[in-house]
Amino acid sequence: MSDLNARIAQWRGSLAARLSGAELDELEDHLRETLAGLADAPLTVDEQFLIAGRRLGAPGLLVEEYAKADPSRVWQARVFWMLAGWAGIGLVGSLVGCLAQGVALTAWNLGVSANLAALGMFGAEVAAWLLVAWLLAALARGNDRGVQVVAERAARLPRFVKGLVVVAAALVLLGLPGSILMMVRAYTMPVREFGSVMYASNIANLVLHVVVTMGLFAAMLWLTGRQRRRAAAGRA
Amino acid sequence: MYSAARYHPRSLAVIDKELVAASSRPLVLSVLAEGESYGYALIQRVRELSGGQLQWSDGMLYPVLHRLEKEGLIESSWRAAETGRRRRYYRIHEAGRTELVRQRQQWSAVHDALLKLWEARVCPI
Repeated sequence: MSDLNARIAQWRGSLAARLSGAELDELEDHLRETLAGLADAPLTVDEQFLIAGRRLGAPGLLVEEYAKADPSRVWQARVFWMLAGWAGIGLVGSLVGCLAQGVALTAWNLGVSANLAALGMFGAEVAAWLLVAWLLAALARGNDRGVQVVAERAARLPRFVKGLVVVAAALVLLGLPGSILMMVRAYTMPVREFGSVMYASNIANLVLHVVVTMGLFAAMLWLTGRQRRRAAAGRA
Repeated sequence: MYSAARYHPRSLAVIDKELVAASSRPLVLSVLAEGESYGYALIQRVRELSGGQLQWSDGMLYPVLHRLEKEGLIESSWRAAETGRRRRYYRIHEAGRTELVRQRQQWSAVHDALLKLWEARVCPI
């Protein structure tokens, strides 16, 4: 019996990220009822569980059916991940920006002209983004399962943690880190030089942000397309 | 819809998936019109009525029940079952009975039309 309870707990865990507690209670009651009906059959615990699980439906299909009946739940999850992604990218963007500006300022302080320093900053920023892209690609290619586990754990986070992510996204969007950095720098530089560095770096930033955003959209489209193709291949 | 090359009838006795999905609504409402019930018992009842021809993946029933509840056709309440576990029981509402009448008219219309064709041997089967 304890064996069976362990199996049920494991089954519950596999669905915990996608269904609510009440929904799981209801499904667990159903699973136990099915198992009770199989108790007298000459089957091992594993076999009983296999049959009961099969009758109930595979976890993936179950989640799909629940999502079909209530599409809003899918959107809640999507919006959360969009905001989390936005916050993450914003944060990385700020770090990359700081790094690139640091490079430019160091060059400028060493006597390089403002335009050349801005060009150096552009180069540093491109290099840093390429590094981020390479890291993301390595993560996606090397370990699909790992990404899934992280996603499941994150979906199980308490509500206030998810709230914090939303607040972080808002703060990053407001450009708080960048503004603080600019304020500090504005006091330490001659106004004219500062202006030309910022002018050149703003144009570089604009171009980069457009490219990065378009790249992200393309990646999202490709990923969802791949998931759909995989699902279709699984069904065939 | 099916080309000759792609049509592979699996078994005559098992009802197609699309038809199972479409009939879940009137079936659930009809069983609940007999009296209060819960998921597992409801599925057993349908299985028994159809002689096993209607094969639901059991988990598919709950989203249907939740949807009907959201639409105000049925209501649910959690109570302790005889096993000691918490169980969710479903009951039909007046709106559900009205919907059931509507469903019945629709299904009867389809059924009658098919019967007329088949019994009069209008179509060659």
